[in-house]
Amino acid sequence: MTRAEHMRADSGRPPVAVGEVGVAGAVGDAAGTTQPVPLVEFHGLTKEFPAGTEKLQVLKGLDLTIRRGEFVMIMGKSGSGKTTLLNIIGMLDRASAGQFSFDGTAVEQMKETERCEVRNSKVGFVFQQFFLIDSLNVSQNVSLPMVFSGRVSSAEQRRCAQKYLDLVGLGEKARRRVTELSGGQQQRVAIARSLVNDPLLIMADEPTGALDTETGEAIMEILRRLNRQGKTVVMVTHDEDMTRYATRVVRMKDGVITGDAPGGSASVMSAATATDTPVTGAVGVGTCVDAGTYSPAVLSSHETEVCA
Amino acid sequence: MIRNIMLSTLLGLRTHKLRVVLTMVGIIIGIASVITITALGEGVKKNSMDLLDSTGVSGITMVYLPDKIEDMGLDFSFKKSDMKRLLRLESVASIIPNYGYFMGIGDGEVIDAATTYLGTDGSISVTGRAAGAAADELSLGRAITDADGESHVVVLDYMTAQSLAVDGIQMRDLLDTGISIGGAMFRIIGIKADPTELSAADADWTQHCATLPFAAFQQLIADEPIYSLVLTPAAGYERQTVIDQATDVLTQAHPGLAGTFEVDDSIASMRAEMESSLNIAIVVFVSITVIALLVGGIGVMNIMYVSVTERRREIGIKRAIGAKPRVILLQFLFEAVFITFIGGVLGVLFGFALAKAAAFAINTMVPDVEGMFGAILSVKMTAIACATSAGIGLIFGIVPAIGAARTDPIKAIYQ
Repeated sequence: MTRAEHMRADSGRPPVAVGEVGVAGAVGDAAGTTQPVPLVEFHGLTKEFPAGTEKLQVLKGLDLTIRRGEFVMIMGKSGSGKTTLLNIIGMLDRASAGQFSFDGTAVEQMKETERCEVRNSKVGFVFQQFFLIDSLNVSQNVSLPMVFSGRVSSAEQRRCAQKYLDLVGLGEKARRRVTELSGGQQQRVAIARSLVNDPLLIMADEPTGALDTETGEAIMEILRRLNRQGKTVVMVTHDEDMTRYATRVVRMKDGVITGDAPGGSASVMSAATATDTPVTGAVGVGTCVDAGTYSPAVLSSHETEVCA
Repeated sequence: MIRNIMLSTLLGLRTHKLRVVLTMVGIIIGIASVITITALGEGVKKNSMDLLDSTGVSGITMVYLPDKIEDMGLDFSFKKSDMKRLLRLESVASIIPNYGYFMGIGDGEVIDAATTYLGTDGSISVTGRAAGAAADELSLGRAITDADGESHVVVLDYMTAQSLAVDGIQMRDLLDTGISIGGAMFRIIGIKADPTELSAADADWTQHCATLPFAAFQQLIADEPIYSLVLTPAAGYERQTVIDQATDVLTQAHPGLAGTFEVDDSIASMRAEMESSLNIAIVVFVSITVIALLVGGIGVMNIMYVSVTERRREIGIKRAIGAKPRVILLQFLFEAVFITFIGGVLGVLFGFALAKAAAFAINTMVPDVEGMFGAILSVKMTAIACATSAGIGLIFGIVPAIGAARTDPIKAIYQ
């Protein structure tokens, strides 16, 4: 898919939020009920790594569909293949076999540059170790995805970075070096960075793993709020306690899915869908998505708007 | 996006100042070596050529060549009327007559004239002081002025005065005594300074000649045969045009001569050979110093590899959040080119300062150099040096940059 096609796809993308999953972001089924539109779908997904002369199969023919608006938590012990799966869903890695489509596009056929464009515009990453760039200040770190998109002016980048920093309660620290921040603050910067291009999907790899319990809870609260406002979140963890934030829990063991059940927030999902307003919109040329009037401290359920 | 990448790269460089400086040092040394040698070489070349040109070799020397070898050296002489005819040509700016076979040194008329002083015969080079000309540097007496008119007074050059001041005669004793020059008596009123003690600028050709008042000199040379004419082409005229027109004028002025008017270009070809030799010498020396530049380039490559390794995680993060391989490639290439370009500019400045200092030191400390050393830095040379250093960044930075662009984001992030 070319950049132009992506942009057309973007501009044609309906404004989707959990609250609208049953309206714009949904399809009808035979029973007359509506199902949220699938965002990630894979069948027979396999991943092998060379191990000497042998091949080690880490993912063994997985089938999974993740729909828009879900908060999917992938649980499993070390070596279960959950991070490998996350990397493939986030298009950081390629599957060895199987079909994988993202937002309706077959990923296997995409060239590396197209995968980069999708990663940049439709996926936001939050890592356990934050992975911010020490040589850049907080605002510059948040702006990076916009720099690589090449569609937003410098002034607009600064403005958007500030908005998203306000959103995660770090507006005051925009010009600080990231090394001057605490772990929790750095993770919030990483979340702001993941949101700045208004992605469809947020990928979080053990986002609370390097934080104390209280800070971890605050980060999870931000992710839950984002999910309630329409962002699809896929998170990898081995912490059972986190399942209460998820709408769906997928369990893995030795490269296979051993369980797929509603999470602790599954009931909240439907309640939220009834009240929340659209979150996502196209990232047009020269614009970014405005963080709107979110409460800085904790993401509340206010709406976002698209900068004109 | 390019602008953003550049800004992002510059911000990144800010946090690696020591590495940036170390990378630059190699390039600065390399470029400075090349610039020092080139600037000194060009300076010496220019000074040598200027010295040669001051002897009139850049002009066109017209001589008469008889058809028969046995007639060579027989009594043909150009006349003042020939000079007047040639000066009427628009293509001729000026003419200097050469008396005898003495190759005139410069833009004035010089003859070798017979002398007698206290019964001893000799020969000296004599010139006339043109009205308004700058006074020569003197060691004794006074200089000739416009007021001297046709007076038979002379200011001797230092060497001649030295040769006359023998047998207990001091140099100052020569003043106000008479010397026969070309059969006429002249009163010695001054003695010029020793040219070896003057700077190159002051020790011009007139310091090596005795000087008479202009009118007195004209009387002296009235009957002197002129063996060649040195023509200076007017601006905008080709050398060959001047030669063709002058040959026509001279042939018409001297009908019935069994010979031809030719250009004596032996000195001009000597000049060309000298310039060519100096150019070769410069190229050889620059080629040697290019090795220093090559070492600097390899230093750039080495440090770029270190930089890529050091920043592997940063590359991985950028790739993860959507930076295309091309963007990473550009970032590292821009970094290499930026560092080497700035290094090149500093190298040019440092090299030129070094060349200036070296020229000054050699001129001051080495005897007999007489200001021959100089340092010249042309715009072209500066542009080539800066472009070369940026090119080095491009060439030696491309391999590490490709390596960075091909970095697997997962391996880089979870290293």
